[in-house]
This record gives sequence, structure tokens and C-alpha cells, in this order.
Amino acid sequence: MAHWERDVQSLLRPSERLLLTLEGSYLQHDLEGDSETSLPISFGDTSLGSSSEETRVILAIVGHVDDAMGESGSVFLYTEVDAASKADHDYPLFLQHTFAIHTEFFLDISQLASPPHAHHLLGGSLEAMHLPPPHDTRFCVQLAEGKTIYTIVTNDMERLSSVASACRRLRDLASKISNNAEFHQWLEPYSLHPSSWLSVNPPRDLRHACQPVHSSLSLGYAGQPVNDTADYVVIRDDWLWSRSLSLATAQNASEKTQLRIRVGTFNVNGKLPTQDLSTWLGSVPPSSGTNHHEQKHSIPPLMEPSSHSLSDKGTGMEEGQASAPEADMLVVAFQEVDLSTEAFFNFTGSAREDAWTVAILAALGDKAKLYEKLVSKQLVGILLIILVKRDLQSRFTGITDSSVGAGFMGIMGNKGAVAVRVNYQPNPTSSSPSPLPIAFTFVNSHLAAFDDHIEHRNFDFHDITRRLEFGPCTEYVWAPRTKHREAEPRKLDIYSSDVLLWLVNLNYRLNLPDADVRHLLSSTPTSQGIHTLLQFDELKGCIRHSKAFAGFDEHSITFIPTYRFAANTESDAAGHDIKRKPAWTDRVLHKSSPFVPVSQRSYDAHPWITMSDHRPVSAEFLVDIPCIDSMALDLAANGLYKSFATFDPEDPEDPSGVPLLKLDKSALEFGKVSYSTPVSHSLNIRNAGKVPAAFRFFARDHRSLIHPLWLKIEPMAGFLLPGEEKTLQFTIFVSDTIAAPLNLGTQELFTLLIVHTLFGQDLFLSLDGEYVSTCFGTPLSVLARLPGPIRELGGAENLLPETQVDSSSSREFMKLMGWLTAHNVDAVHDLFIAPGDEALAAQIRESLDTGAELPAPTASQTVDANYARTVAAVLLAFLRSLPESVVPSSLHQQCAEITSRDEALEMLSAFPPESVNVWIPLTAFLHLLALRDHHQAEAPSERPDKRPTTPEDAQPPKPPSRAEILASIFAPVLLRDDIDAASPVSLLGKRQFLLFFMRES
Amino acid sequence: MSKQFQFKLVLLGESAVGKSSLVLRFVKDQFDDYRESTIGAAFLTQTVNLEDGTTVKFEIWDTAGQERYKSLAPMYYRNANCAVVVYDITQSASLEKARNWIRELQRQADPSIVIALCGNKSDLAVRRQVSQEEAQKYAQEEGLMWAETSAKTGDGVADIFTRIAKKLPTMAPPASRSGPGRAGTSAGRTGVDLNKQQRSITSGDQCNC
Repeated sequence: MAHWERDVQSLLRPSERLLLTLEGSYLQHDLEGDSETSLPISFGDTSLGSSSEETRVILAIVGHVDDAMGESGSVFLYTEVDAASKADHDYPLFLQHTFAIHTEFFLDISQLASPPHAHHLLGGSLEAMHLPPPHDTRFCVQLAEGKTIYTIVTNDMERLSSVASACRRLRDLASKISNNAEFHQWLEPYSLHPSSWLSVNPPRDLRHACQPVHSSLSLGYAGQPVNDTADYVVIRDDWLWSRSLSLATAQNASEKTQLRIRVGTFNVNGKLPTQDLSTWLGSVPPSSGTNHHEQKHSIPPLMEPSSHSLSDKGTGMEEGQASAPEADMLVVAFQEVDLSTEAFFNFTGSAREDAWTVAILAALGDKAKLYEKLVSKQLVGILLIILVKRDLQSRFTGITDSSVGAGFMGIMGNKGAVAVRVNYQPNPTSSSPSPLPIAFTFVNSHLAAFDDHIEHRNFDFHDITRRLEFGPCTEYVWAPRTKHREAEPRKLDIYSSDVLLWLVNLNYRLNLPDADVRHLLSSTPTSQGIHTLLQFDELKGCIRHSKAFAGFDEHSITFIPTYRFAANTESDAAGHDIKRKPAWTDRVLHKSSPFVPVSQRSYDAHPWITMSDHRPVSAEFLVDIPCIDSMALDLAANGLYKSFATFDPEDPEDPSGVPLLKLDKSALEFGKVSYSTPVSHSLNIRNAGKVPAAFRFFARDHRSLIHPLWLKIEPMAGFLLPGEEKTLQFTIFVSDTIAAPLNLGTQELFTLLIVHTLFGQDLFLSLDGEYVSTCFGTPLSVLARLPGPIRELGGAENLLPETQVDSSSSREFMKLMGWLTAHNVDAVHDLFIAPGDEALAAQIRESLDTGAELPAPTASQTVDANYARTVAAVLLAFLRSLPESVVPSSLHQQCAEITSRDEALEMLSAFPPESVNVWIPLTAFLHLLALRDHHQAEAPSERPDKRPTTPEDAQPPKPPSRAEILASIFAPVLLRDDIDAASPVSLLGKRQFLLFFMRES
Repeated sequence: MSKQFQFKLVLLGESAVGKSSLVLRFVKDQFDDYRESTIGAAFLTQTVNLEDGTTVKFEIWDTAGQERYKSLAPMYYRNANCAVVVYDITQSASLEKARNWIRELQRQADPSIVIALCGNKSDLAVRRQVSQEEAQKYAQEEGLMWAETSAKTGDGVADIFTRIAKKLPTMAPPASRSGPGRAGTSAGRTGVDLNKQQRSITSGDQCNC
């Protein structure tokens, strides 16, 4: 019997207590004929106790103690999992039913010899129950709830009478409580699923799930832990999550399914649909990319929207065109659907939503019949419509929505967001009969306009994330895992998801002068201009600095800005309104849990849908749906919970001992470490104690970092059960920005690290490397003072005093420059463009640092073009590695404003001498290269003032001259761009300044 | 009701003089003949009951003695109410190291810190290199408590900690500059009368930063 108790206990939450079990078998099941289950049922007494085929039944009395409500109980009915399917299950029992013991609880006991109902005793007369005489040892127990009746046969009379008295006691307790529903709320998780209890934890907060655990810990320093208790719980729970997920995933790794999600976002500027949307919605593949002229005429007119014959309509595309893979889910976001004044104040009906829904269905053409609208949500002009494949519709459950206004007074709906949350229930499989649902949240937001309101937009973002709330969600009940957490219905926010897709009309702008933006967009290749511009994109900046949308991913953008295109105003070459700086205002961002991998397959704008001043944007995602059985997950979590439950972080003075961790090394020797070359070493940390232990790294004090900038540690915190071991990886990487003090020997690759055992000792770890100095990453002003090669410096004290420096130039730079000017390399057309040979580059770098001659060219007499390319590439890399820009950043604005060659030459007097000594030889060399531009006469710097008003008037831009190409490469190197500046210096201005030195006067 | 105090105590001294053994004897009344060198800082607690009914709880940081970790020691002796600086009576060089530690504490630790100089391994008196007179004279000059102990036999161990415990409550000013104590157990009550429920970190110290 004892093993049943263990099995039952393993299926209970830690908050529940097993009081009693009783073993038996089924006599009869489900008298009302609702026989959906196919349990083996024994009829009559002939086979009882003799057949090995019979299904064993375990009746368990389970108690739960609630601080406020006191003790309550329930009868749990389990059936044994038969031997054949046991291999597929980790659990030995199925939960058949739970019967709450309340005042109407019904338990009937009778002697088997007679027909089961002859001596029945109603639940109300439990007190009067007397057991029949012992000549027949078998008894029937009948349990009923509603129309379902279970009859169990047992011969364990002793336990049966205990069961009866326990039930009686619990029923008495229940009779003292008025609110029965609340009294038995703890049963809810068990009753959600007929065979077991489901995992009822909502997904973990995405912000934590996507971040390493150490970033959520308190600040603490050596000898001064601030909050070990809270930190311990954070580290332990993170471990519990990832460990139980990986335990539950491993066995089903091959059963992954995929969900294809097509999303679109479109600010329609108050318009009603007048054009075909099929390319945007992906129902027809976009034809050859950006060639506007061809595509223009293949766009079909919008079909007459008619809900009666939607599925009969073709798409208007030519026959035989390969069809795009069908999305399982279509998520369509609109903004400014309704700009009318009335819409702000009261809901104006669903006419516009209907019109757009019809347009979506029309765009789907034949495929429209495959889809069903799952949900839609509108807030004034913000509309979100979700369609799913008809055959998948039943898999989407728990649909909830939310909306918040962020417009006038912070509440009106002219700006704001709507959101929809759905659970996707994967297909059950043999090894995963109750798969874990995957939660998706879709947000469609429209944030404040106006160029100077970036802070406002960030505020809106945080405000919206805080206020978008779903629930309380009845699907989730907080599963109490420790005595410190109470069960409560949950309100969920947008981060309680596995996958979060944010479709945005953000009004984040480009932080560059208008002329720069338009010039870069009209230059060729456009992809390069787009790449440069995106560095100055406000949204990307906010993500980079975690000011808004922290941790969100965005696919790389290859389309031109989607705003603003106006029908009746002048536009530039790319078709953008000349009065409004172009911007990527329509974006698709995503964030997903590590165990639900999301890959983005496309990210496009649709320039030929021209009905609005915005262009619609689409994205397609493939979501790998993990097959995780929720029962297996909970068993894993429960098992793990038991492994650490004995140690209570609220009362860490455990009698079984203190947490004790050991490192297998107390020192790591890295040997030689070179600039820009990662070197890794590892060691193991082991729990040598008798209790679970958590660790984290500590800084020395509040002025120190946990580790130097040249070091990376993975992981920075962790949790180990007694006897367990974990590998810690340490990587030294010396980048441009931190190389200078190491190159000069003012800093060493040495550090002492402190590994803090929570509630235990601090372990010290020394880490030592021998740095190989290099001129890369060293300021020009310092290189000019080197008495010889940097490798031979032997300490910053050996630098020449500034007064003794005569030429003020970097020997290393002059060596490369000298080689380039001494050889006829101007014929190498891709000099500074092609990367050169990596192995040769390493030899050249080495010769700069050691003072050796440059390695000999491979061919004896003629200069190999590849050699020239490599020298040029090393020169460019050297200039890029300098910790400060060749031209000091304080001078950039002045340089960019210069309008003549004479002024430009005068400007040189403001440069520091070491900068002049780079500038003059370099620009003279670039000038020579520019002269060899045979293919093109010197082009005027400004294109004719032609203002095409429609895209087909746009001429393909003239290919840029060699001077322009070189200027676009060197300007950002010599006058380095500050992408985080409040108002960055014009990129064009910097290029122009450089061109004054490269062109003929 | 009797008074309860809590103090942060740090052990300093050269490697292998027996700091960890001294703590093990004091906290658990045990001794290991072969102990691994401490590479880090171990944390332990022990309570001393005085005759007048006062109880003193020590939060003990036992630090690594090796020279290479010397730069980390200030992290552990900052905000300490008392320090036990240990030398080995069989190694005269270890007394020199102890003098260095004491100088550093006098210069950099809390000015009210109580320092005890402790000559360990008194069971090895036959190999003695440091005379009692020399050490005692130095301790008197510097105003330190002094004792010889044997972690192995237990001689003098409880005694020196009790003497520190007796001295501390009278020394510790109510607003002593104490840092946060042990998290989860006694945060912020280092060096103060626990009956008064004062919280020295939250009240006074934060304006320093």
C-alpha cells in the first residue's frame, strides 16, 4: 500500500496533504451512460480480485489547509496507468475525478453480496452508517457528483472505515463555512484536466525569462550581502524554471510543430480600403522586390468587397504563380482607422472594422475560406484583427483583450494601444497527452507624434506596458509552491507570454538633418544608405539604451522609410513628402521566451499600396512550438521542489549544515592574450555541502565593477544541489575601447574575483593574463610619443615627454601610409573596399607592433593587388581602432559647416598636430586615388533640382564617383559619428569637408 | 530583560597561523589537524553569554591570509566592531605580519574598533620564537588586548572571545558607524542593543554616499 501513497503524494502540490488512501477496483462506471472513457470495468463479483486485467482504483483523501479558511478536504479518484502505456508516462496514476467534501458530499457504502443499491445510505446519513457483518469481506463504495457515479469495490474494511470517518470530519468542517466555492478553490487546478492537474502557472515574465538571472539580484558587496534571502529565491526559482522545462522538453524534442504567423501593420490615415492588400497579407508572393516600375502595373484593383462570394474571387494575379506558404495565423494591425471627432468620444460602431475585415478577406481570395476571424479589438482608430486557419481555431483558447488610451490627458483613445492574448494548445501526442499551452500576446500601439517628443513616446511605452492588463484570468491559479505564497487569481500583463509581438506605429524619428536623410536614401546602393540611417533611428537608440522596448528584437530593415507619402504635395526622389522628414514609423518588434524560438522570415514594406500617407509593413514569423507535457513539467517541478524544499531561505540557519561551495581552481592563468582575440578558460564550482546552495559574483564595493571590462563570466549566478557541479566560463576580450591602458602597461590583465555563496562564504579567484601590447586601440597622441615599437615600451613611464617629440606622428601610421604611396596602388579599384587577406593582415599588424619590416610581398617585383588591399584594410582598421576620432569630436560641427576649400584648409590649424600628421598624408593619397576615377567625369555634388512627384518620375541615381565613395568610407572613420548625440552632426557635412581635400581646387 | 548585542568580528593574520582553526574551535569546539588553506572569506556566527545575562552575538568573517588576497581584506574589516589579529608563536615573522595588519587597521578601519592580538599554537611552546613578554609589551604600547591560544587544545580560545564580548558593549557608541549586517538574519543591527530595535544603516549611514 505504501507505494500508492508515494505515487499519490507525487501527484499533489506541495500545498496539499495526503490523509488516507484506499485501494479497490471499479464495479461500475458512469451509470448515466456518458461513457466517453474506455476504462476496463468489472461487472459483478465473479472476476473481482482474480483477474490481472482489472484496473486498480485508488481513492485518496486529500486535505488542504488555508490560513483564512482552515482545513478542507476532497476525495481524489485515481486509476492505475496500465502496464502497456506506463512506458510513455512518467506518472503511475491518472486522476479520474475529484469530489469536494462539502455539505452535499455523497458517499455510499454497501455490502457487495447484495445488489449495490439495496442498502444504500445517503451522504446525509453518514453518521448513522454502520458496517455490515464481516462474513463477506467485499464492499461497494459509491461516489456521485451530478450525474456521474463511480462505484468501487474493496475488501480493506479497516481503511474503509477510516475513510468514512475522515469524510465525516471534513464534511463537518465544511458545514461551518458559508462560501463553499471559495473553500474548495484549491481544487481548481486538479479539475481543469480530467486525467491530471494542469500546470497552471502562467508563462514566466518575459523580461526575466530573456535576461540572465544575475541582472535581477540585489546590489551586494564583499563582506556586505544586502539581501541574500531575496536573491536566493530569485536564483533558485530561475533554476527551477529552466531545469524543469528542460527535463520536460528533452524526451519530446522531436515532436516540435511550427506555427506560421503573418503580421501586418498599417496606418491608414482615416481612409477606407480602396486597393488590393494581397501582397501585404502574403496571400500572393511579392514579385521581384524593389523594382517598382514593373510591379506597378501588376497590382490588381480592389475587388468589389462582397461578403457573399469572397471565396470565389481570384486574386487577380496571373495563373501559375507560386503560392506563398499559408500563414496559420494572420495578425493585422491598423492605426488611424477613424479620424472623426465623434470617434474620440463615443464608439462609432463597427462599420470601419467591417470594411477592413472585408478587404482582408478579399485580399486572401480563394484562401479566405480557410480562415476564421478569431478576435478583433478596437480603440478609436487603433484596430487589431486576428484570423486563424479554420482547422486550428479550436486550438486557440483563453482569448482576452485589453486597451489603454494615451492620447489627450493621457487617457483618450486617439493614441494608445490595444492588445490581445491567446493561448495556443498544441496537438496532444502519445508522450504529451496534455501539452503545455503557448501564450501569445499581440500589441498594436500608436504613440505620440511630433519630432521633439521622444521622452513623451518613451513615457507612453512604459505607461502602456503597465496599464495593459488581462484578466483576472481564470485559466491560471497561482500554484502555491512555498508556504510564503498564497493562491490567488492572476491578473496578467503583456509580459506573461511566451511570445510577444508588438506591431507599432511609433512615430519615432530619424535623428539626422533632413538633407542627410534624403541624400542617403537617394544614394546607391540604397541598402548602404538605409544601413547608415538606421544607426540614427530613435527607436533603435531607445532599445540600445533600454529606454523603451528594452530587449525587443527587430529583424533588419531593408525597405525605405514608410512615412510620409502624400498624394498632393511635392515629394523627393524616393517619393517622400518634402515637408516631413522621412522615418520608419511602422515597425514590428518581438520578444520570446528561450524555450519558444521565434524566427522572422520576412520584413517588408509595400510601397504600391498607396492609399495612405504611410506604407503598410508586413512580417512573417515561424514559431517553434515546443512539445512540453504539462503533467511532466509539473512532475519535474515538483520533484525539483522537493530537492530543495528542506532549506528555507527565510530561516537559513539549517541544522543540516551551511551552504558550502568549492571551486576546483583558485587561480586561472590565461597566458598570452592579444588585442581583439578572445581567450577562454573555465573552472568548475561544486556544491560540497549538505544543503542546496546559490552563488553569485560580488563587486568589492560600490565603486567597483564585479569584473573588469575585458572579462566576461558565464554564468554570473547559479544554483546547485548537494553534489552537483557547474562549469563557469571566463573569457578575456580586449576591444578597441579598453585597449589603451593595457597597451601602455598602466593596467594589467589581473583581477581578483569574489564568488559569494548565499548564506555562506565568499570564495576568491585570481585571474591572470599576459597582455601582448599593440598600437591598435592606442591614442594617436600617445603613439607619437613612443620611443620605439610599442612591444618594447615596457611601461607608460618610458614614453617620450611631449617636449621631446619632434614629428608628432604615429610611426605605425606612417609605415602603412608610406608603403601605399610608394607603390602604384591607385589602379586597385576596390582599395579600402575589399577586405584583403586575413592571415597577411595579422602579419602586418604584428610588424607594426614589433617594429619589424612589413612582410615581403608574395611576387618579387610586381605589387600584388591583394597585398595592397590588405595594407589598405589594415590602415582603415587601425584608424577605426583609435579610442578617439582622428579629428576631435569637438571640431566636427565646425568642420561640417565649412563651405569652401580655403576655409577647410584654415580649419587644419585647429587640429592637434598628431591629427594633422594623419590628415594631410591620408587625404593627399585619397586625392590621388580619386584622380584615377576614369569611368566618370567629376560629377556635380548636387543633383539638378528636379522634384518628381510620383515614383515613376524618379530616375535611377547616377553611380557615385570614386571620391564620393572614398569620402563615404573615410568620413565616419576620421570624423567618427556619434549615434547617441542629441543632435548628431550632419553626415553629409562631414563628407563634404573631406571632399574639399580630395578634389581639385 | 537581558541585553542582547550583535557585533561584526574579522580575523586577520598571516597564512597558516590558525585563524580558521581558532574560529572552528570557538564556534563548534572542533579541531582538524589538516585544514585546507582558506581561499576566500568564511562567515560564521557564535553567541557568547556573559555572567551579567548579556548575550553577544558575533558575526565572524574569517579571511584568507595569503598575500595575494591582501587587497580584499578591507572589504571585510570595514564596519567591523572588532578584529582578532592572529600570529603563530612558533613563527616570529608572523608577528611582523600581525603588526602590519594592526597598523593598517589603526589607519583605515573604524576608529572605535576593538583589536585583540592573539598568539596561536601555544601547544607548540617548545618551538616558540615569539616570547610572551615581547608580544605583551607591544600590545600594551598599542592598547590592544592580548592572549595566547591553542586552537588544538582549546586553551584560551573561549577566554579571549569572552573578553572581547565584555569589552565591546561598553565601547560601542549607540550611533557607531556600522554597515549592514547579515542579510536575512540580523540586517542592520550590528553593534547595537537588539532590545532597542535600532537600525543603524537605515537611519544614519546612507547619507555618506
